[in-house]
Amino acid sequence: MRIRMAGATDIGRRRKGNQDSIFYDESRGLGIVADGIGGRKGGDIASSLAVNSIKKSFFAVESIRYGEINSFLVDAIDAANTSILARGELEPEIAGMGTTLNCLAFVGNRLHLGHIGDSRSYLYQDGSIYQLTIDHNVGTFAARGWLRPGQLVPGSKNEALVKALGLGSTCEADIYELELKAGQVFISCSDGLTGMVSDADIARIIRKNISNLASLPSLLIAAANAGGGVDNITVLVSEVRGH
Amino acid sequence: MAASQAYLIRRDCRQFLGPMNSEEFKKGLKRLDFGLQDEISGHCGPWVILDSKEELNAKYPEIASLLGEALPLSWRETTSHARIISRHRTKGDKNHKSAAHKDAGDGFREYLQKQRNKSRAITIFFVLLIIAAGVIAAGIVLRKKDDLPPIAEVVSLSEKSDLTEFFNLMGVRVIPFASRIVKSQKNLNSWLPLFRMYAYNSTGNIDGISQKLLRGDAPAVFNHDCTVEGWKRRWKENTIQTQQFLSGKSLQKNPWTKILALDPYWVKRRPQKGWVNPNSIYEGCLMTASLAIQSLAAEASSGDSGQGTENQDNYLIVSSRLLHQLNIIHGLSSISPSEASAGEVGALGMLTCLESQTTASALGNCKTVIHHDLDTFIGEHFVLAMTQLALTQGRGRPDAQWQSLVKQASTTMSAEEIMSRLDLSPELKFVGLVQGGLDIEQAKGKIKMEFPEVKFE
Repeated sequence: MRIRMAGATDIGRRRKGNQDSIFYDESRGLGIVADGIGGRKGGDIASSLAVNSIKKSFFAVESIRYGEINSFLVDAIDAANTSILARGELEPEIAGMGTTLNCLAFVGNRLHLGHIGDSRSYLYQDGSIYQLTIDHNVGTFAARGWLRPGQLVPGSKNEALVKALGLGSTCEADIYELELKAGQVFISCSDGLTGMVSDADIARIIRKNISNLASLPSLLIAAANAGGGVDNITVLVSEVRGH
Repeated sequence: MAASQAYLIRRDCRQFLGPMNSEEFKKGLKRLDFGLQDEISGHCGPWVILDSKEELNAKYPEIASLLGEALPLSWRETTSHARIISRHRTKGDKNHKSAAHKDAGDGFREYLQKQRNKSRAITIFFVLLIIAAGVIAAGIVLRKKDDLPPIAEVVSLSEKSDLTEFFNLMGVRVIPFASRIVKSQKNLNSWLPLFRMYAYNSTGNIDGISQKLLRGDAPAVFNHDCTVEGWKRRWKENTIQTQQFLSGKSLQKNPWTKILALDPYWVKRRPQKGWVNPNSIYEGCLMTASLAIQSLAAEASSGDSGQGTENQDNYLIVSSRLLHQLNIIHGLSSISPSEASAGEVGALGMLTCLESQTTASALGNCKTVIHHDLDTFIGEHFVLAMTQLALTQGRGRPDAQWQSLVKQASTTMSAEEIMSRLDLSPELKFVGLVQGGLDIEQAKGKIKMEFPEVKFE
């Protein structure tokens, strides 16, 4: 399968800096979106460290066996977590920084997706859109009964993250697999998009502009800004084409 | 493929199948590509567990109806085969007339008549033979379609750490025939623990099996409907009373307060025969209550219920308490005592705190503002906590502080009615024996003799 990618990031309309990071490489079939946790110092550093660490892990190997890609992804995400913690130890003023991560690895005819935090990945196919990732926040975890006793403090907001890189020495990322088909489009984004634009509107924008993949990230970012742009917005679009 | 008719399946929380249309969904279900514990999502829709009938009906009615039809359908198909075979009966040779018949004399006519009768008899014989063969074939087909998997196979799947295959197999090949298993009583005692495992890990209910049978020998005080829907209904009916209990203002006796007040160690000591994961009706009810509160919280956060944030806070508090209880029962508790009641306040915070301490002196940490009406209720839990502390110590005799605290608590206990109305006599006896001078091992031995069904470990 051939993968075409396009991505963009934007500060939004309310923030003073951009704490999101993005990287994509069509030839390697690798795409990464990270959203530094706001309200803590060093969110931008954390997201940038995560992206660079994942990149480094992938660039360090010539090839990965098909059967080993998931464990490779887990190791790469662990290494990213470690690099954030190590930096925090060196610089106490940014200790505790954290980031979300969505890492897409297209290998053969499959997508391997590593996910932690509340940045999302969607599948768009035949006019329909499906959210692939589960938001790792209090609202979702409470609804699914996944919160451990004592994990919740009264007054926790539904949007508060339960899992992210940099929050502890171990991180449990979700790893998903999906068989690729020509025509599929994957959208990975920070919550600056999904907080402002509904899934139905994302699908509508893609449907209208599918023939111009390169313009899709900026169109989606524009829609988020039109909706208020309260957070940084990052969008990565990956289209699956035939051989 | 029409956009509104495609669905994506998330299998085992890690692999996506599809998107697929309803026909492909039916085929996938039949091939066991996925099972009732997996999740489905439609265009712009939420992820819904296939086993969650009500939510599926609300969000994806087409899939709910497919699932509803798919399971009993295989059973109905077999009877239609039998009907087709029965049409052979209409085949006959009544109107056959030969030219010889017209010209023959009486004798010859008689001869012909005999021959015809003989021929008719042969024809009838073959028709009967075909019908018999058909009936036998239909029987074989019927048997094959209804064939339950061997119990040993289901049991072995139920013991695996990943229960996907267990729920798939039960959902497709056992649950549709549950009422027949119950009626025939064949191997019912072997099937019951598996039915309970399936039910209490999902909705608390199985069509065709009465709640009475599923519950088994539950004490009268714990004889309420433990289905997820039942819990949800009662939550809505008792919101104000439950709130008063949660805030520690008054002791309200309703099924929700009873389940939240259950001492998890008391439950753990009472595994029941015929129960495996959950090990008792008490554990099963805790599991379905936990599922119900999660469902209510999800409805509240999606705005379906129109309930306020106060209710959402209550959902989190109750959910946290239920997880604490289940974690202790499942031996999963890894939180420190100081964290134990961090998310809870009032009566529940007090109970969780008492159940989490590791020394008698630390019990004093469990202070919260509770109305004095709840004193006896808390006293009861205090004795249960003392029991557990002594058992955790393992050998020898508890320290002087334990002895002194127990003396105060047991005086109150003997004077008052047991509020939970559950049988605490083994615990009270154990505490009495230790207080009377026996060491813990000796006391455990005595309790084992007197109450062999209670596991004092």
